[in-house]
Amino acid sequence: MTPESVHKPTSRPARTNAVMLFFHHMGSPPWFYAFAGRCIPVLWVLFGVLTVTGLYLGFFKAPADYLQGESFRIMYIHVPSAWMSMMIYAGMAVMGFIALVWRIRMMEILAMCSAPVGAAFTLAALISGSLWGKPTWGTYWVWDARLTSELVLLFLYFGVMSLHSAYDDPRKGAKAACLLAVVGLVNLPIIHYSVKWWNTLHQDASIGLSGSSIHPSMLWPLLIMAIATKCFYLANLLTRARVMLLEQDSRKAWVREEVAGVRG
Amino acid sequence: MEHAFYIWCAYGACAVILAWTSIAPIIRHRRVVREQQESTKAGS
Repeated sequence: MTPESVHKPTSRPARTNAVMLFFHHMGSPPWFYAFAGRCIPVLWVLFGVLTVTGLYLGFFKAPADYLQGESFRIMYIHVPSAWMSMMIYAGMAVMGFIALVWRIRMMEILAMCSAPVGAAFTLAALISGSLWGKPTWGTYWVWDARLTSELVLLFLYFGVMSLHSAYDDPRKGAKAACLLAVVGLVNLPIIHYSVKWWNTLHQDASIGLSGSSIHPSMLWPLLIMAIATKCFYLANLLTRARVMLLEQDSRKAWVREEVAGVRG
Repeated sequence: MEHAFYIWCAYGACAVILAWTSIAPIIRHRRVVREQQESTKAGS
């Protein structure tokens, strides 16, 4: 075999087959459980390294804002949390939709496990935002469109979690909660465009697809923190999904084998 | 540092929320595994 044939690029159908095979494996609980167990430590390490780097750059390298002074540094936890609150909800709704239409149990589990993490990020965004609002606006809270729609998002997360746990049959609960998640998706454009549609105290987005109005020295720590929060979400999601799988499949042979081996 | 109280409170509150969010499923995982092991032992 020549080196050229060894390093021959993978053809498109082969790549498509590999992706299809991955998703096929994802539907198998024992495979998913083992795969998630291998990914979680890597994600935690990535989260730790990125958080330390992002906060170091944000606190010690980025200069103070000319208008807000030092208080702008709250941005490094507030903005990634707010982004995650919306991104997780969108992901949860998409997974919920797939679970409802194609009845894929793993999607149901992943959608339901996303809700508590999304709620935590929404709460973090609301609290850090109100603590940023006091020195900037002079008040912790105003009933303005952005803040109110973000609060509605928190209630939607609580609704999804409550509905899921309200049924004795976890799969029935998940179906009802997935439906609520899909319906609640309408709130995301309201949150995003609230600063454009209404006259709000909250500032307009500083980062968009066309570019950013933030200086690179302030922007890079923010982007690093944004990636760190994604690693946090994935590590948390996989941990929760493993627990839910163990609980739902407690009578199955693979769980007994797994527990006998006590792997993580 | 100017506005240090607000900055520390914001990071402190977020750290508590995110720490609890990550610790809770780990504790639950250990409990579920322990319960499974006990029920397996009782069964055998």
